[in-house]
Amino acid sequence: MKKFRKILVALVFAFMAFVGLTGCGKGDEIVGAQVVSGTIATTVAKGGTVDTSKMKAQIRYKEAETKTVDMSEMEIVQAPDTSVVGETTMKVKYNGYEFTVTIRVVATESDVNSISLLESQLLIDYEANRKITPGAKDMADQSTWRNEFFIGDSPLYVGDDNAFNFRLNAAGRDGAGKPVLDIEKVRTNISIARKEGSTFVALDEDGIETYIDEIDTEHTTIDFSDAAKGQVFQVLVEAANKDYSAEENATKFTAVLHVIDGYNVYNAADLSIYDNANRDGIWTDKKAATGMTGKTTNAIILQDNIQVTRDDVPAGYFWNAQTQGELAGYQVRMNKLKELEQTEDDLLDGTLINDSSTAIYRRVVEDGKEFKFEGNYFQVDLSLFPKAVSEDTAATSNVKVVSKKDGQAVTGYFSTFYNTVANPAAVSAGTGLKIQNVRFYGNGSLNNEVENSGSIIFMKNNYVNTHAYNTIQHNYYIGYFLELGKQANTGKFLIEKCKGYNSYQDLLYGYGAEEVVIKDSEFIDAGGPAIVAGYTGNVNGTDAATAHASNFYVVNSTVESNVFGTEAWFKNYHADAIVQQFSLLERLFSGEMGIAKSGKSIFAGHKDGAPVYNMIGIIYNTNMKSVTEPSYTQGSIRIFDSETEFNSFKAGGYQDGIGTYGLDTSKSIVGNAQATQSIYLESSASAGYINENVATNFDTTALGSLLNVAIYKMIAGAVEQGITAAQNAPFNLSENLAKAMFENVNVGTEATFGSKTFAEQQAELKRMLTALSQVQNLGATLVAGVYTTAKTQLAGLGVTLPETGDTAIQLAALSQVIDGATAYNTKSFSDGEQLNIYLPLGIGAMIGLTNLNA
Amino acid sequence: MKKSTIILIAIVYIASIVVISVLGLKAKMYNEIYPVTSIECLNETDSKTIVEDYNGKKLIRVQYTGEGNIETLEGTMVQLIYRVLPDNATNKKVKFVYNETLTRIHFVKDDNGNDLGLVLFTGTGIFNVRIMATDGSQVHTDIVIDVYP
Repeated sequence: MKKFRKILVALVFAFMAFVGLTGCGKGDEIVGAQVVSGTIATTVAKGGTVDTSKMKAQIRYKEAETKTVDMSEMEIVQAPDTSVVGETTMKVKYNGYEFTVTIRVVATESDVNSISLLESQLLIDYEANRKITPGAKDMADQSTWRNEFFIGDSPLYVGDDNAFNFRLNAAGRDGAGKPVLDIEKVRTNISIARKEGSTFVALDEDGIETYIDEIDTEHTTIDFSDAAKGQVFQVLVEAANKDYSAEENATKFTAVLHVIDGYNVYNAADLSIYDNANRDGIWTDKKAATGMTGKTTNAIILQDNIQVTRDDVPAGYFWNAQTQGELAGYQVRMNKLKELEQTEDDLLDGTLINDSSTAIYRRVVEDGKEFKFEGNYFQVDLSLFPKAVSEDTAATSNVKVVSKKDGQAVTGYFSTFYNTVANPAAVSAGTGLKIQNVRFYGNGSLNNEVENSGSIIFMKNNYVNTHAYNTIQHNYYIGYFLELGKQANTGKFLIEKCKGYNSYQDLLYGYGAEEVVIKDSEFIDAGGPAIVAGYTGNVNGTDAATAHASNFYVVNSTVESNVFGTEAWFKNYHADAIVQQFSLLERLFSGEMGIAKSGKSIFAGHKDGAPVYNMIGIIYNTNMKSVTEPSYTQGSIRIFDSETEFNSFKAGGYQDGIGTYGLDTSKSIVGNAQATQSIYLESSASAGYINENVATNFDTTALGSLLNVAIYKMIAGAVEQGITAAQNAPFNLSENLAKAMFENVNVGTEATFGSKTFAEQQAELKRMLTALSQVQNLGATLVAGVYTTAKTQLAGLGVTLPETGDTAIQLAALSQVIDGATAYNTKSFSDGEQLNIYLPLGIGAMIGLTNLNA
Repeated sequence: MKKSTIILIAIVYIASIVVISVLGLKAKMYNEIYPVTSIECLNETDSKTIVEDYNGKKLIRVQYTGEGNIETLEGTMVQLIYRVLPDNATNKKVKFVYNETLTRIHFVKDDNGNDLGLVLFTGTGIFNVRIMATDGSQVHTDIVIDVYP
């Protein structure tokens, strides 16, 4: 019995040890815990209490599992000491595991003699952010220009849905004269006046009751009522206990506030109100944790720079071994990453699920209403947001992952914002989205680090009419991404006075976007074309129901992207080989192909010996896996110098040639390219065109150049005949002496002749003919030979030369022909600022030409 | 050179051509940008200033000795020293953001309007200054300058 009892006790102890090791709930050891962001205020005024009623914590277990628990499951074992300014800790216990939370205790007015500094950080930031530096555009260092808005005089907007907080900075001196900073609960005197006509009239008691729901003079917040919408108020805030030795403006400030219907956003938790779709319930838990459940608004108004990190958005946006580890898709991606990077580390967990149907914030714009996103010149910052390391539109087949080792990039699909309408087939007039005065900063950059291919898209607008006004974007995978919209009251995208820079892929993307107008804006620098006008039909063009063309109209704007053509975008779509062929097209501009030197170049420059192109845009079929596939493509990109030109174009029924000849794959020249399997180049100014095989097929509008070369060849041929004749009877000259007879004619080579400008060629031909006529004993005969040949060939062009044997008349007639060649050169492929290139595959590209004579 | 060596070199040479033809050349970006990720204020206590950490914020204290004068370099002034990271950030230019309604603080600029980080004071006060990147990131660090009597 004793032995049995010992065994039983041992078994019980063993069982208890097992339970102790594995713990409850997850059956695993707890290795860490942290408070969920936004569920507790970690800054408290001295003497105050920390409200833990809504606190949640994320518990981490040894086997990488996590669990979120709320306050009812936790216990405060040591409350924070808020009696002293500085940092203090609060100890919390969950299921036997203790962790600490750091609380920052800030001073109150009781800690100082008086207030030496009272300022609004919001007003300081607002003023700094909207500043416009005169002459910034012309400075060599463009950083100031690129970082400042076009328009800086928009008022400060305030919403009435929640309190407006001036974000006070207060400081004073203690009894010893030492500074005390970050003071909370400062007594202030607040005066409010309402604008009536052109003056501000102080609000009396009735006015306060009408327009103000609540004023908090300690935290300097004002909650405007519904009645305040559309009104303008002047607010003066002064420290009640001010330091009289401080300068007057140091202890007071004034602001003019324009109140609108909207929600004031101060942090990422507030920004979650943007999402009203809550697709698959993904935002439910996060909004519940941050107290944003059920909140709605017609507009959001930024009142601070908003940084969005992983902790601020639903966990469901990221790969997670705990919830998805068993899925085949997770396994495939994880194994591929480990294999490529030759590591045992799990590189997938915590990265973005890169799915085209997903965005952080999804909004369905209410029918008949305009949703406003007012930035007040503040910024939404995604720079710390995780990137994707895989493509996730496919489940398990053909999965691509990022590989630093072999430079493999992925295509980005995930977007920050996604805006759409409920029913594209029935959209009422007035439905739309207005974004203004906002900066946006992405998590990518324009450099060779392949991880940037997993960065985020800025904003996708699907059908919903959008007016983006006075925005700035930097460092996204793609900037504005505009989709679809042939239905009534859809598909109109206006991007006005906006700036965009440094996209890893493109700055502006159209996915069947009906009408995109880029007006008075600047979009520069991408790792691919600045504009991609994507056509969404099938590659054969046989399914009209799904066919949507993208049409871009660039009006009085700078849109450019200087690229080698070997950037990741080009390699991804196998377009790098095609772009390298563009360097051969330079021969058509430099005078090497029998075409007079144009004074233009297809190159934007050179760097490290490699040519650089200004790739303004391309049109292609989005269903193509590679740009080397032949495809049916529709779409257009047009560039107008002014709004007047654009308006004329619209008034003229969108006819090509009014204001500009755009890159448009509905033109017959596209069919020509496909028929001849050649590249066609077209001028944006005149529609003058040339075929890359012009040397053999003469298919060009610039016939004058070819005529010059033809006459040159006649003269060169005549010189050869003359040299031969001089070596024969009756002259019998040696070869050297025979050549010396023609020294003054000096025809040179065809290459040097071709490298001259058109005007230089004309002058040279006349000189050579005159010199030919002056060759002793042979001149007249040879000129007659040239004349006869020219007469025959020009007859084909409808030009009739007189019948004459008189050398002087022949020379005069030929001189007229040479001058007349200009008439055949009225249109040239090189006379515009942009070059439209049509590839036999059905793809179009627009390149900016460089004027070498500028 | 041995025949076998020559053959080996030829094989490698041809294989290289094939590999590059199949795989292509490495992706190359024309205009690389490396954004600013942080800014540090490097000021330390010296003969004229006392520098402390105040709840994670740098506090620079200087006694007011008269109006700061850029011509004579006399009076009350502070030269802000900072570092922009990463070291290969494309644009390391910064700007200084502060309450411009205050009259006792002046930032010295060069002829092109660029901030030099030199701050002149014409009176006492407590001044919040933000050193901010100008590459669009809005990365910044906040400091406080206490000019005491």
